[in-house]
Amino acid sequence: MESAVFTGNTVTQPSESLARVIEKESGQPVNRCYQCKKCSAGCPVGPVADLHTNEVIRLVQMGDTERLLNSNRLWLCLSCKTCQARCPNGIDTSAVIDVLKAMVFKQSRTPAERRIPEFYKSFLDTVNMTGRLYELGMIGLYKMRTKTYTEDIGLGIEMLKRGKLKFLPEKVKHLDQVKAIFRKGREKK
Amino acid sequence: MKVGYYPGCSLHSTAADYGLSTEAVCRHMNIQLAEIPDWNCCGATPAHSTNEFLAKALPLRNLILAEESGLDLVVPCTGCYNVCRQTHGFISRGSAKSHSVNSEVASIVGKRYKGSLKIMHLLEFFSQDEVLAELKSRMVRTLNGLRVVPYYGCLMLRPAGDVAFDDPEQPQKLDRLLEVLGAQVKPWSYKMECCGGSFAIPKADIVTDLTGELVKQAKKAGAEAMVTACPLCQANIDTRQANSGMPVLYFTELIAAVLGLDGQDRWLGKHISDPRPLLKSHEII
Ligand code: SF4
Ligand code: SF4
Repeated sequence: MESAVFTGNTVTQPSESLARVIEKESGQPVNRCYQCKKCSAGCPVGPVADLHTNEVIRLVQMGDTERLLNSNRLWLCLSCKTCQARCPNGIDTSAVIDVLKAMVFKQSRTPAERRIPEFYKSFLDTVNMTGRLYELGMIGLYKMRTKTYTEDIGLGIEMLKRGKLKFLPEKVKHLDQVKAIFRKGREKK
Repeated sequence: MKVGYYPGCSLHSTAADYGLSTEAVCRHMNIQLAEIPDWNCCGATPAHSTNEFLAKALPLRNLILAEESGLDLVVPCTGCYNVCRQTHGFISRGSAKSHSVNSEVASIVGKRYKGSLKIMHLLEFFSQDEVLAELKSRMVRTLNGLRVVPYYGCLMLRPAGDVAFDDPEQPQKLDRLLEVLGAQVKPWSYKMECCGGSFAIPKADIVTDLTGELVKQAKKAGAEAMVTACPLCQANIDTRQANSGMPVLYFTELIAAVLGLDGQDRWLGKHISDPRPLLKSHEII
Protein backbone atom coordinates (compact mmCIF):
# COMPACT_ATOMS: atom_id res chain seq x y z
CA MET A 1 0.00 0.00 0.00
CA GLU A 2 3.02 2.33 -0.22
CA SER A 3 2.74 5.06 -2.76
CA ALA A 4 4.17 8.33 -3.91
CA VAL A 5 2.07 10.17 -1.37
CA PHE A 6 4.77 9.60 1.19
CA THR A 7 7.80 9.96 -1.07
CA GLY A 8 6.75 12.62 -3.56
CA ASN A 9 8.37 16.00 -3.09
CA THR A 10 5.64 18.38 -4.24
CA VAL A 11 4.71 19.19 -0.66
CA THR A 12 7.23 18.94 2.12
CA GLN A 13 5.53 20.67 5.02
CA PRO A 14 2.22 19.71 6.56
CA SER A 15 -0.26 22.46 5.92
CA GLU A 16 -2.90 23.38 8.43
CA SER A 17 -5.16 25.46 6.34
CA LEU A 18 -6.74 22.77 4.14
CA ALA A 19 -7.11 20.45 7.11
CA ARG A 20 -8.90 23.20 9.00
CA VAL A 21 -11.34 23.88 6.19
CA ILE A 22 -12.05 20.17 5.79
CA GLU A 23 -12.52 19.67 9.53
CA LYS A 24 -14.97 22.52 9.64
CA GLU A 25 -16.96 21.51 6.56
CA SER A 26 -17.02 17.75 7.12
CA GLY A 27 -16.98 17.67 10.91
CA GLN A 28 -14.27 14.99 10.75
CA PRO A 29 -11.19 15.17 13.03
CA VAL A 30 -8.68 14.57 10.22
CA ASN A 31 -5.69 15.59 12.33
CA ARG A 32 -6.21 12.61 14.59
CA CYS A 33 -5.30 10.18 11.80
CA TYR A 34 -2.15 8.15 12.56
CA GLN A 35 -2.09 6.24 9.27
CA CYS A 36 -3.04 2.81 10.62
CA LYS A 37 -4.71 2.06 7.23
CA LYS A 38 -7.66 0.17 8.64
CA CYS A 39 -9.84 2.33 6.41
CA SER A 40 -7.96 1.29 3.29
CA ALA A 41 -7.96 -2.39 4.21
CA GLY A 42 -11.75 -2.51 4.05
CA CYS A 43 -12.39 -0.15 1.15
CA PRO A 44 -14.15 -1.92 -1.74
CA VAL A 45 -12.74 0.41 -4.38
CA GLY A 46 -9.14 0.37 -3.10
CA PRO A 47 -7.92 -1.69 -6.09
CA VAL A 48 -9.34 0.69 -8.71
CA ALA A 49 -8.81 4.12 -7.17
CA ASP A 50 -5.62 6.13 -7.68
CA LEU A 51 -5.39 7.00 -3.98
CA HIS A 52 -6.02 4.82 -0.96
CA THR A 53 -8.40 5.98 1.74
CA ASN A 54 -5.62 6.67 4.25
CA GLU A 55 -3.78 8.67 1.57
CA VAL A 56 -6.74 10.99 1.17
CA ILE A 57 -6.48 11.89 4.84
CA ARG A 58 -2.70 12.25 4.64
CA LEU A 59 -2.95 14.59 1.66
CA VAL A 60 -5.53 16.67 3.51
CA GLN A 61 -3.07 17.03 6.38
CA MET A 62 -0.34 17.93 3.91
CA GLY A 63 -2.54 20.47 2.17
CA ASP A 64 -2.05 18.91 -1.28
CA THR A 65 -5.21 20.30 -2.84
CA GLU A 66 -4.06 19.57 -6.40
CA ARG A 67 -3.57 15.84 -5.96
CA LEU A 68 -6.78 15.53 -4.02
CA LEU A 69 -9.03 17.41 -6.40
CA ASN A 70 -7.58 15.61 -9.42
CA SER A 71 -7.99 12.16 -7.92
CA ASN A 72 -10.52 9.66 -9.26
CA ARG A 73 -10.91 8.32 -5.72
CA LEU A 74 -13.32 11.16 -4.94
CA TRP A 75 -15.76 9.84 -7.54
CA LEU A 76 -15.13 6.15 -7.00
CA CYS A 77 -16.02 6.31 -3.30
CA LEU A 78 -19.25 4.35 -2.82
CA SER A 79 -20.15 5.96 0.52
CA CYS A 80 -20.35 2.49 2.03
CA LYS A 81 -18.84 3.90 5.23
CA THR A 82 -16.72 0.86 5.98
CA CYS A 83 -13.87 3.31 6.61
CA GLN A 84 -16.03 5.23 9.08
CA ALA A 85 -17.05 2.08 10.93
CA ARG A 86 -13.46 0.91 11.39
CA CYS A 87 -11.40 4.05 11.98
CA PRO A 88 -10.04 3.98 15.54
CA ASN A 89 -10.06 7.77 15.52
CA GLY A 90 -13.64 8.28 14.47
CA ILE A 91 -12.88 9.65 11.00
CA ASP A 92 -15.47 9.22 8.25
CA THR A 93 -13.36 9.55 5.11
CA SER A 94 -16.43 9.47 2.87
CA ALA A 95 -17.66 12.68 4.53
CA VAL A 96 -14.25 14.25 3.80
CA ILE A 97 -14.58 13.06 0.22
CA ASP A 98 -18.04 14.65 -0.12
CA VAL A 99 -16.50 18.02 0.84
CA LEU A 100 -13.68 17.51 -1.68
CA LYS A 101 -16.19 16.74 -4.45
CA ALA A 102 -18.06 19.93 -3.62
CA MET A 103 -14.73 21.79 -3.93
CA VAL A 104 -14.23 20.37 -7.43
CA PHE A 105 -17.60 21.83 -8.47
CA LYS A 106 -17.04 25.13 -6.66
CA GLN A 107 -13.72 25.66 -8.40
CA SER A 108 -15.24 24.63 -11.76
CA ARG A 109 -12.65 21.89 -12.21
CA THR A 110 -13.12 18.88 -14.44
CA PRO A 111 -13.87 15.80 -12.32
CA ALA A 112 -11.32 12.99 -12.76
CA GLU A 113 -14.17 10.56 -13.54
CA ARG A 114 -16.65 11.68 -16.14
CA ARG A 115 -19.49 9.19 -15.98
CA ILE A 116 -20.23 9.19 -12.26
CA PRO A 117 -20.88 12.94 -11.91
CA GLU A 118 -22.94 12.87 -15.13
CA PHE A 119 -25.01 10.10 -13.58
CA TYR A 120 -25.57 12.11 -10.40
CA LYS A 121 -26.54 15.13 -12.46
CA SER A 122 -29.01 13.17 -14.59
CA PHE A 123 -30.54 11.60 -11.49
CA LEU A 124 -31.06 14.94 -9.76
CA ASP A 125 -32.36 16.63 -12.92
CA THR A 126 -35.30 14.24 -12.97
CA VAL A 127 -35.94 14.79 -9.25
CA ASN A 128 -35.99 18.52 -9.92
CA MET A 129 -38.45 17.99 -12.78
CA THR A 130 -40.91 15.66 -11.02
CA GLY A 131 -40.02 15.52 -7.32
CA ARG A 132 -39.18 11.84 -7.58
CA LEU A 133 -36.59 9.82 -9.42
CA TYR A 134 -37.77 9.05 -12.95
CA GLU A 135 -35.47 6.21 -13.98
CA LEU A 136 -36.20 6.15 -17.67
CA GLY A 137 -35.71 9.92 -17.94
CA MET A 138 -32.51 9.67 -15.96
CA ILE A 139 -31.17 6.91 -18.22
CA GLY A 140 -32.03 9.00 -21.30
CA LEU A 141 -30.28 12.11 -19.98
CA TYR A 142 -27.28 10.10 -18.86
CA LYS A 143 -26.92 8.36 -22.20
CA MET A 144 -27.09 11.64 -24.08
CA ARG A 145 -24.48 13.22 -21.85
CA THR A 146 -22.08 10.28 -21.98
CA LYS A 147 -22.93 9.01 -25.48
CA THR A 148 -23.35 5.47 -24.16
CA TYR A 149 -26.52 4.78 -26.12
CA THR A 150 -26.13 1.06 -26.62
CA GLU A 151 -24.93 0.04 -23.16
CA ASP A 152 -27.25 -2.26 -21.20
CA ILE A 153 -30.10 -1.98 -23.70
CA GLY A 154 -31.00 -5.65 -23.24
CA LEU A 155 -31.11 -5.27 -19.49
CA GLY A 156 -33.27 -2.16 -19.82
CA ILE A 157 -35.79 -4.10 -21.89
CA GLU A 158 -35.89 -6.91 -19.33
CA MET A 159 -36.60 -4.35 -16.59
CA LEU A 160 -39.34 -2.68 -18.65
CA LYS A 161 -40.98 -6.05 -19.32
CA ARG A 162 -41.09 -6.75 -15.61
CA GLY A 163 -42.51 -3.34 -14.75
CA LYS A 164 -39.29 -2.44 -12.93
CA LEU A 165 -38.85 0.62 -15.10
CA LYS A 166 -41.87 2.78 -15.72
CA PHE A 167 -42.66 4.70 -18.88
CA LEU A 168 -44.31 7.61 -17.10
CA PRO A 169 -42.89 9.63 -14.20
CA GLU A 170 -44.64 10.11 -10.86
CA LYS A 171 -45.06 13.74 -9.95
CA VAL A 172 -45.35 15.26 -6.47
CA LYS A 173 -48.23 17.70 -6.05
CA HIS A 174 -46.24 20.48 -4.42
CA LEU A 175 -43.54 20.44 -7.05
CA ASP A 176 -42.98 24.15 -6.38
CA GLN A 177 -41.56 23.19 -2.97
CA VAL A 178 -39.11 20.72 -4.45
CA LYS A 179 -38.07 23.23 -7.09
CA ALA A 180 -37.56 25.88 -4.40
CA ILE A 181 -35.28 23.47 -2.53
CA PHE A 182 -33.25 22.92 -5.71
CA ARG A 183 -33.02 26.69 -6.31
CA LYS A 184 -31.67 27.26 -2.80
CA GLY A 185 -29.21 24.43 -3.32
CA ARG A 186 -27.90 26.05 -6.50
CA GLU A 187 -27.53 29.45 -4.80
CA LYS A 188 -25.34 27.89 -2.15
CA LYS A 189 -22.95 26.17 -4.49
CA MET B 1 -51.44 -1.24 14.13
CA LYS B 2 -50.80 1.85 12.04
CA VAL B 3 -47.42 3.26 11.02
CA GLY B 4 -46.18 5.98 8.69
CA TYR B 5 -44.65 4.64 5.49
CA TYR B 6 -42.04 6.10 3.15
CA PRO B 7 -41.69 3.73 0.18
CA GLY B 8 -39.16 5.88 -1.68
CA CYS B 9 -38.72 5.89 -5.46
CA SER B 10 -37.28 2.37 -5.81
CA LEU B 11 -40.27 0.57 -4.34
CA HIS B 12 -42.40 2.02 -7.11
CA SER B 13 -39.99 0.93 -9.83
CA THR B 14 -36.78 -1.13 -9.73
CA ALA B 15 -37.82 -2.69 -6.42
CA ALA B 16 -41.53 -3.06 -7.20
CA ASP B 17 -41.24 -6.67 -5.95
CA TYR B 18 -40.12 -5.39 -2.54
CA GLY B 19 -42.96 -2.85 -2.49
CA LEU B 20 -45.70 -5.28 -3.52
CA SER B 21 -44.62 -8.00 -1.10
CA THR B 22 -44.30 -5.49 1.75
CA GLU B 23 -47.78 -4.13 1.17
CA ALA B 24 -49.32 -7.59 0.85
CA VAL B 25 -47.65 -8.89 4.02
CA CYS B 26 -48.68 -5.84 6.03
CA ARG B 27 -52.26 -5.99 4.76
CA HIS B 28 -52.44 -9.63 5.78
CA MET B 29 -51.07 -8.88 9.26
CA ASN B 30 -53.39 -5.88 9.82
CA ILE B 31 -50.50 -3.45 9.78
CA GLN B 32 -51.76 -0.28 8.20
CA LEU B 33 -49.14 1.56 6.16
CA ALA B 34 -49.98 5.27 6.03
CA GLU B 35 -47.91 6.59 3.15
CA ILE B 36 -46.39 10.06 3.75
CA PRO B 37 -48.57 12.36 1.67
CA ASP B 38 -46.79 13.85 -1.35
CA TRP B 39 -43.35 12.55 -0.42
CA ASN B 40 -40.35 13.38 -2.63
CA CYS B 41 -37.12 11.58 -3.52
CA CYS B 42 -34.62 11.60 -0.63
CA GLY B 43 -31.79 12.62 -2.96
CA ALA B 44 -29.78 9.46 -2.24
CA THR B 45 -26.07 9.33 -3.12
CA PRO B 46 -26.31 11.85 -5.99
CA ALA B 47 -27.43 14.61 -3.60
CA HIS B 48 -24.84 14.15 -0.88
CA SER B 49 -22.12 13.69 -3.48
CA THR B 50 -22.82 16.99 -5.15
CA ASN B 51 -24.73 19.43 -2.96
CA GLU B 52 -24.78 19.49 0.81
CA PHE B 53 -27.91 21.61 1.09
CA LEU B 54 -29.94 19.36 -1.22
CA ALA B 55 -28.72 16.31 0.67
CA LYS B 56 -30.26 17.65 3.86
CA ALA B 57 -33.23 19.62 2.53
CA LEU B 58 -34.82 16.94 0.31
CA PRO B 59 -35.16 14.36 3.10
CA LEU B 60 -36.07 17.08 5.58
CA ARG B 61 -39.23 17.93 3.61
CA ASN B 62 -40.29 14.28 3.97
CA LEU B 63 -39.54 14.24 7.70
CA ILE B 64 -41.64 17.38 8.20
CA LEU B 65 -44.55 15.82 6.28
CA ALA B 66 -44.21 12.55 8.21
CA GLU B 67 -43.98 14.26 11.60
CA GLU B 68 -47.39 15.84 11.09
CA SER B 69 -49.08 12.43 11.19
CA GLY B 70 -47.76 11.66 14.68
CA LEU B 71 -47.02 8.07 13.63
CA ASP B 72 -43.73 6.16 13.74
CA LEU B 73 -42.10 6.11 10.32
CA VAL B 74 -41.19 2.81 8.67
CA VAL B 75 -38.76 2.85 5.72
CA PRO B 76 -38.15 -0.28 3.63
CA CYS B 77 -35.42 1.08 1.31
CA THR B 78 -32.07 0.94 3.04
CA GLY B 79 -30.75 3.93 1.10
CA CYS B 80 -33.74 6.10 2.06
CA TYR B 81 -33.61 4.82 5.62
CA ASN B 82 -29.96 5.81 5.92
CA VAL B 83 -30.60 9.29 4.52
CA CYS B 84 -33.67 9.85 6.75
CA ARG B 85 -31.81 8.78 9.88
CA GLN B 86 -28.72 10.84 9.08
CA THR B 87 -30.88 13.90 8.46
CA HIS B 88 -32.83 13.30 11.66
CA GLY B 89 -29.52 13.00 13.55
CA PHE B 90 -28.14 16.15 11.93
CA ILE B 91 -31.19 18.21 13.00
CA SER B 92 -31.46 16.64 16.46
CA ARG B 93 -27.84 17.39 17.33
CA GLY B 94 -28.61 21.06 16.71
CA SER B 95 -25.66 22.91 15.16
CA ALA B 96 -25.71 26.40 13.65
CA LYS B 97 -25.82 24.72 10.24
CA SER B 98 -28.74 22.47 11.10
CA HIS B 99 -30.78 25.38 12.49
CA SER B 100 -30.23 27.32 9.31
CA VAL B 101 -31.18 24.37 7.03
CA ASN B 102 -34.27 23.71 9.14
CA SER B 103 -35.35 27.37 8.89
CA GLU B 104 -34.72 27.51 5.16
CA VAL B 105 -36.78 24.38 4.50
CA ALA B 106 -39.48 25.68 6.88
CA SER B 107 -39.71 28.84 4.78
CA ILE B 108 -40.54 26.60 1.80
CA VAL B 109 -42.69 23.88 3.39
CA GLY B 110 -44.34 26.05 6.03
CA LYS B 111 -43.20 24.03 9.05
CA ARG B 112 -39.98 23.15 10.88
CA TYR B 113 -38.88 19.64 11.73
CA LYS B 114 -39.18 19.23 15.49
CA GLY B 115 -37.16 16.01 15.62
CA SER B 116 -39.87 13.91 17.26
CA LEU B 117 -40.08 11.15 14.64
CA LYS B 118 -39.16 7.59 15.41
CA ILE B 119 -37.69 6.27 12.15
CA MET B 120 -37.40 2.51 11.72
CA HIS B 121 -36.12 0.30 8.96
CA LEU B 122 -38.74 -2.22 7.85
CA LEU B 123 -36.45 -5.03 9.02
CA GLU B 124 -36.20 -3.38 12.44
CA PHE B 125 -39.99 -3.11 12.51
CA PHE B 126 -40.41 -6.82 11.77
CA SER B 127 -37.78 -7.70 14.38
CA GLN B 128 -39.87 -6.29 17.24
CA ASP B 129 -41.04 -8.99 19.65
CA GLU B 130 -44.75 -8.33 19.22
CA VAL B 131 -44.54 -8.25 15.42
CA LEU B 132 -42.47 -11.45 15.37
CA ALA B 133 -44.97 -13.14 17.67
CA GLU B 134 -47.84 -12.09 15.41
CA LEU B 135 -45.93 -13.34 12.39
CA LYS B 136 -45.28 -16.71 14.03
CA SER B 137 -48.92 -17.13 14.90
CA ARG B 138 -49.90 -16.61 11.26
CA MET B 139 -47.32 -18.86 9.59
CA VAL B 140 -48.90 -21.64 7.56
CA ARG B 141 -45.65 -23.18 6.40
CA THR B 142 -41.92 -22.79 6.95
CA LEU B 143 -38.93 -22.27 4.69
CA ASN B 144 -38.16 -25.98 5.16
CA GLY B 145 -34.49 -25.52 5.85
CA LEU B 146 -33.80 -23.42 2.75
CA ARG B 147 -30.10 -22.58 2.93
CA VAL B 148 -29.63 -18.81 2.85
CA VAL B 149 -27.10 -16.11 3.64
CA PRO B 150 -28.43 -12.88 5.11
CA TYR B 151 -27.06 -9.93 3.17
CA TYR B 152 -27.39 -6.64 5.05
CA GLY B 153 -25.26 -4.48 2.76
CA CYS B 154 -23.48 -1.36 3.79
CA LEU B 155 -26.08 1.32 4.42
CA MET B 156 -28.37 -0.34 6.94
CA LEU B 157 -26.12 0.04 9.97
CA ARG B 158 -23.56 2.71 9.17
CA PRO B 159 -22.71 5.32 10.34
CA ALA B 160 -23.41 3.67 13.67
CA GLY B 161 -24.15 6.92 15.55
CA ASP B 162 -27.20 7.69 13.44
CA VAL B 163 -28.16 4.31 12.06
CA ALA B 164 -27.90 1.73 14.80
CA PHE B 165 -30.54 -0.90 15.28
CA ASP B 166 -28.05 -3.75 15.24
CA ASP B 167 -24.31 -4.34 15.58
CA PRO B 168 -22.55 -2.55 12.68
CA GLU B 169 -20.04 -5.36 12.07
CA GLN B 170 -21.94 -8.45 13.25
CA PRO B 171 -25.64 -7.78 12.76
CA GLN B 172 -28.09 -10.54 13.73
CA LYS B 173 -31.62 -9.22 13.15
CA LEU B 174 -32.06 -10.64 9.66
CA ASP B 175 -30.42 -13.92 10.76
CA ARG B 176 -32.93 -14.28 13.60
CA LEU B 177 -35.91 -13.41 11.44
CA LEU B 178 -34.91 -15.97 8.80
CA GLU B 179 -34.50 -18.62 11.49
CA VAL B 180 -38.01 -17.89 12.71
CA LEU B 181 -39.23 -18.42 9.15
CA GLY B 182 -37.55 -21.82 9.09
CA ALA B 183 -34.47 -21.14 6.98
CA GLN B 184 -31.07 -22.62 7.59
CA VAL B 185 -28.95 -19.49 8.01
CA LYS B 186 -25.38 -19.96 6.84
CA PRO B 187 -22.61 -17.96 8.49
CA TRP B 188 -20.45 -15.89 6.16
CA SER B 189 -18.27 -12.84 6.54
CA TYR B 190 -19.72 -10.78 3.68
CA LYS B 191 -22.91 -9.62 5.42
CA MET B 192 -21.90 -5.99 5.38
CA GLU B 193 -19.82 -5.75 2.22
CA CYS B 194 -20.79 -3.21 -0.43
CA CYS B 195 -22.56 -4.30 -3.65
CA GLY B 196 -21.41 -1.27 -5.64
CA GLY B 197 -24.38 0.86 -4.68
CA SER B 198 -25.30 3.55 -7.16
CA PHE B 199 -22.63 2.58 -9.72
CA ALA B 200 -24.85 0.12 -11.60
CA ILE B 201 -25.15 2.51 -14.53
CA PRO B 202 -21.95 4.61 -14.56
CA LYS B 203 -19.48 1.92 -13.41
CA ALA B 204 -21.06 -1.43 -14.10
CA ASP B 205 -17.66 -3.16 -14.12
CA ILE B 206 -17.14 -2.32 -10.43
CA VAL B 207 -20.62 -3.61 -9.56
CA THR B 208 -19.98 -6.79 -11.55
CA ASP B 209 -16.72 -7.40 -9.66
CA LEU B 210 -18.16 -6.72 -6.21
CA THR B 211 -21.37 -8.71 -6.73
CA GLY B 212 -19.37 -11.54 -8.34
CA GLU B 213 -17.35 -11.88 -5.17
CA LEU B 214 -20.52 -11.78 -3.04
CA VAL B 215 -22.14 -14.60 -5.01
CA LYS B 216 -18.95 -16.64 -4.93
CA GLN B 217 -18.76 -16.28 -1.15
CA ALA B 218 -22.46 -17.05 -0.73
CA LYS B 219 -21.98 -20.28 -2.66
CA LYS B 220 -18.92 -21.14 -0.65
CA ALA B 221 -20.97 -20.70 2.51
CA GLY B 222 -23.40 -23.28 1.14
CA ALA B 223 -26.29 -20.93 0.35
CA GLU B 224 -28.96 -21.59 -2.26
CA ALA B 225 -30.26 -18.02 -2.07
CA MET B 226 -29.29 -14.64 -0.71
CA VAL B 227 -31.73 -12.57 1.33
CA THR B 228 -31.67 -8.81 1.50
CA ALA B 229 -33.59 -5.76 2.69
CA CYS B 230 -32.13 -3.26 0.23
CA PRO B 231 -33.31 -2.40 -3.31
CA LEU B 232 -29.80 -1.53 -4.48
CA CYS B 233 -28.29 -4.77 -3.18
CA GLN B 234 -31.03 -6.85 -4.76
CA ALA B 235 -30.97 -5.09 -8.12
CA ASN B 236 -27.19 -5.05 -8.39
CA ILE B 237 -26.80 -8.78 -7.76
CA ASP B 238 -29.92 -9.77 -9.68
CA THR B 239 -28.91 -7.84 -12.81
CA ARG B 240 -25.13 -8.22 -12.80
CA GLN B 241 -25.06 -11.88 -11.68
CA ALA B 242 -28.21 -12.95 -13.47
CA ASN B 243 -26.68 -16.19 -14.71
CA SER B 244 -25.01 -17.23 -11.50
CA GLY B 245 -27.93 -19.39 -10.37
CA MET B 246 -28.15 -17.46 -7.11
CA PRO B 247 -31.57 -15.86 -6.60
CA VAL B 248 -31.69 -12.81 -4.35
CA LEU B 249 -34.88 -12.48 -2.34
CA TYR B 250 -36.32 -9.68 -0.27
CA PHE B 251 -37.08 -10.84 3.27
CA THR B 252 -40.68 -9.71 2.75
CA GLU B 253 -41.05 -12.16 -0.13
CA LEU B 254 -40.08 -14.99 2.21
CA ILE B 255 -42.52 -13.74 4.84
CA ALA B 256 -45.24 -13.70 2.18
CA ALA B 257 -44.34 -17.30 1.34
CA VAL B 258 -44.63 -18.62 4.89
CA LEU B 259 -47.89 -16.73 5.33
CA GLY B 260 -49.15 -18.57 2.24
CA LEU B 261 -50.32 -15.38 0.55
CA ASP B 262 -52.12 -15.45 -2.79
CA GLY B 263 -50.64 -13.87 -5.89
CA GLN B 264 -46.96 -14.26 -5.05
CA ASP B 265 -46.14 -14.34 -8.76
CA ARG B 266 -46.85 -10.63 -8.81
CA TRP B 267 -43.54 -10.02 -7.06
CA LEU B 268 -41.57 -13.26 -7.52
CA GLY B 269 -42.18 -12.97 -11.28
CA LYS B 270 -40.29 -9.68 -11.42
CA HIS B 271 -36.85 -11.04 -10.63
CA ILE B 272 -34.31 -11.40 -13.43
CA SER B 273 -32.98 -14.56 -11.81
CA ASP B 274 -36.27 -16.38 -11.13
CA PRO B 275 -36.43 -17.67 -7.54
CA ARG B 276 -39.59 -19.75 -8.09
CA PRO B 277 -38.00 -23.04 -9.16
CA LEU B 278 -35.91 -23.07 -5.99
CA LEU B 279 -38.85 -22.15 -3.76
CA LYS B 280 -41.00 -24.78 -5.43
CA SER B 281 -38.38 -27.48 -5.02
CA HIS B 282 -38.48 -26.84 -1.25
CA GLU B 283 -42.28 -26.77 -1.30
CA ILE B 284 -42.27 -23.21 -0.02
CA ILE B 285 -44.60 -21.92 -2.72
S1 SF4 C 1 -8.48 4.20 9.80
FE1 SF4 C 1 -8.56 6.32 10.56
S2 SF4 C 1 -6.60 6.60 11.65
FE2 SF4 C 1 -6.40 4.75 10.38
S3 SF4 C 1 -5.47 5.52 8.47
FE3 SF4 C 1 -7.70 5.52 8.16
S4 SF4 C 1 -8.34 7.57 8.72
FE4 SF4 C 1 -6.29 7.31 9.54
S1 SF4 D 1 -17.04 5.01 2.11
FE1 SF4 D 1 -15.77 5.33 0.27
S2 SF4 D 1 -13.68 5.49 1.06
FE2 SF4 D 1 -14.92 4.63 2.72
S3 SF4 D 1 -14.66 2.40 2.54
FE3 SF4 D 1 -16.52 2.97 1.37
S4 SF4 D 1 -15.84 3.32 -0.75
FE4 SF4 D 1 -14.01 3.33 0.57
